[in-house]
Amino acid sequence: MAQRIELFYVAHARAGDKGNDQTMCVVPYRSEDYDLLARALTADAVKSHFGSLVEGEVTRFDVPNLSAFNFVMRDALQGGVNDSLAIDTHGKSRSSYLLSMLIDVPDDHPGAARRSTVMPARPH
Amino acid sequence: MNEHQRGNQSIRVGGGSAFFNDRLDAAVELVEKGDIDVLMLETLAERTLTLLHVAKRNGGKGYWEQFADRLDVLLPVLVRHKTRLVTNVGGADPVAAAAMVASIARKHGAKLKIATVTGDNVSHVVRELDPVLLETGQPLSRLGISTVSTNVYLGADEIAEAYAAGADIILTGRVTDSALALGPIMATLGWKHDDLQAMACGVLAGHLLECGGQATGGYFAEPGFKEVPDLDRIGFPIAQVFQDRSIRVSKPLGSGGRIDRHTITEQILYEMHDPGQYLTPDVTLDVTSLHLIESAPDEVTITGVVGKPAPETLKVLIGVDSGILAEIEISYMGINCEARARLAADTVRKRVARIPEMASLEVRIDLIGISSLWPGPVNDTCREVRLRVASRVPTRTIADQLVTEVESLYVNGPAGGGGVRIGVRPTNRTYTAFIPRSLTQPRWAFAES
Repeated sequence: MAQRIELFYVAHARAGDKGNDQTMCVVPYRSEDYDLLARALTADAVKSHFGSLVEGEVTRFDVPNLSAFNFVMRDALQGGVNDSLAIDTHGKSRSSYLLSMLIDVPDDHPGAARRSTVMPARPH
Repeated sequence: MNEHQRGNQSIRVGGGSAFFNDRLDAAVELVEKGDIDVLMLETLAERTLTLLHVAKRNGGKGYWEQFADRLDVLLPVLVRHKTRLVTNVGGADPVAAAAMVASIARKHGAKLKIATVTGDNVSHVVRELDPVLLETGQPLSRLGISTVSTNVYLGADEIAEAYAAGADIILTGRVTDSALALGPIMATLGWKHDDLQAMACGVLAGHLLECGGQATGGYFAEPGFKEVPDLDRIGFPIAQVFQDRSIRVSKPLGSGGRIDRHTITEQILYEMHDPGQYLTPDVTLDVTSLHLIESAPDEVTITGVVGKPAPETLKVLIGVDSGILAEIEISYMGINCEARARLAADTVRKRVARIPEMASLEVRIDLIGISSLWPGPVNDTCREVRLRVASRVPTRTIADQLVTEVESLYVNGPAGGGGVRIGVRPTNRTYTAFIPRSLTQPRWAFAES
């Protein structure tokens, strides 16, 4: 049995910027979730989660030795610090948006239990 | 001096700032309690250097003047602990910055050898080469605007030489951030450029230090999920680099913050593209074979660093003026507040479209609390919303006109708008080009004392 929960309960992330490109690393709280995330966080899935925010290609680099993934999203920042009129020109807050992505985890995953303690049950 | 006890077996480098206005008390704590040999201060974000060039052009100093007040606090502590300092605070004029540092040293009765690294200003080379810009795919000359600053990212060689020659304080302009650590590491451990693994080890140490507290629990806390003790007094990072190409990352004993596999991993990958190829002027760093061990509480030991040859070209940042940014905000509260903010936005858009010199402007409107960061619909009941209007405009007159269009919502807009704030400021932007290494002439010199 599986259920859908936000990535927030399974991993943490940090965003950075280089020009108009966004970089973002994702690190599971538990190393044993690495394969689960490798299946869920495909470059396509991440690009589709960001929708129109990311105009260019999304590339995922796997860094299993650090139990981490590194994403590079091209043309993602409406021009970045140079040109963007957004309030967060660096896109620093976007790591939190990635963590809102829904992923499938087994029913007995500790992230699911954790989620149920802080959020009311939600139909899906 | 601690350096003598460690000899050439290891060196302890402290990362004392991530940007020019970072916490000073944490840098002082590093020197007082961190048992460090050298403090590095990173102060030049991509556009900061362009701002300093603008200041210099307008008759001001080419370096960040407020650094004098900070150094007044820091310098006596550095002297007391025989700790050296390497920083890019020299900005657009390291030689002038050295004169300022020398006067502060005199004031404190300290005899210090101050060195400068110059040669990052490559405006003449770039003017002649007219390189293709990464952002536009066109030669620089096609921009048709004059450049404010043209600086190449230098490597660590000159810093290493000045450090080996006994400089107590080294002031640079634009160098790659990690070079501020790599230079002292090369000088102390006797590492040379042909040893790629050694270079990569020094670059990784610098990369971990260049963002200060971001390696030690800063930018990490998630209340209830990943806690960081004493966020209000995070200890800044120390990298002890050993001859065997290992790095031990720690922070001052008793300081706040957190160091473990998670904080260090986030910082290793911070602003990296391909983790197998992190390009710097000194070496190409590969972090895909690193091994992290939580070797003690708040301490991580890193081994397995890999280095590949450095790129043939060096990166240049070209700064130009980019108009005036006008930002104006107003708040609405209570029942139906989002609808009133949307009506206000619609009113501003319609009026701006009717003014000929503004009709073609790109104007961005955000509802802060609803849509300024989050792209989709928000379900929570809205209790307040802040409307933000932003546009990059060519002249101050047009900026003032846009301000009027939002500020007049006070009396002509929807009910209950309040708290207008206005920001209007000149902006600059950077373009990126690459030039052959052979065309740069980096050099270092002791400052006149």
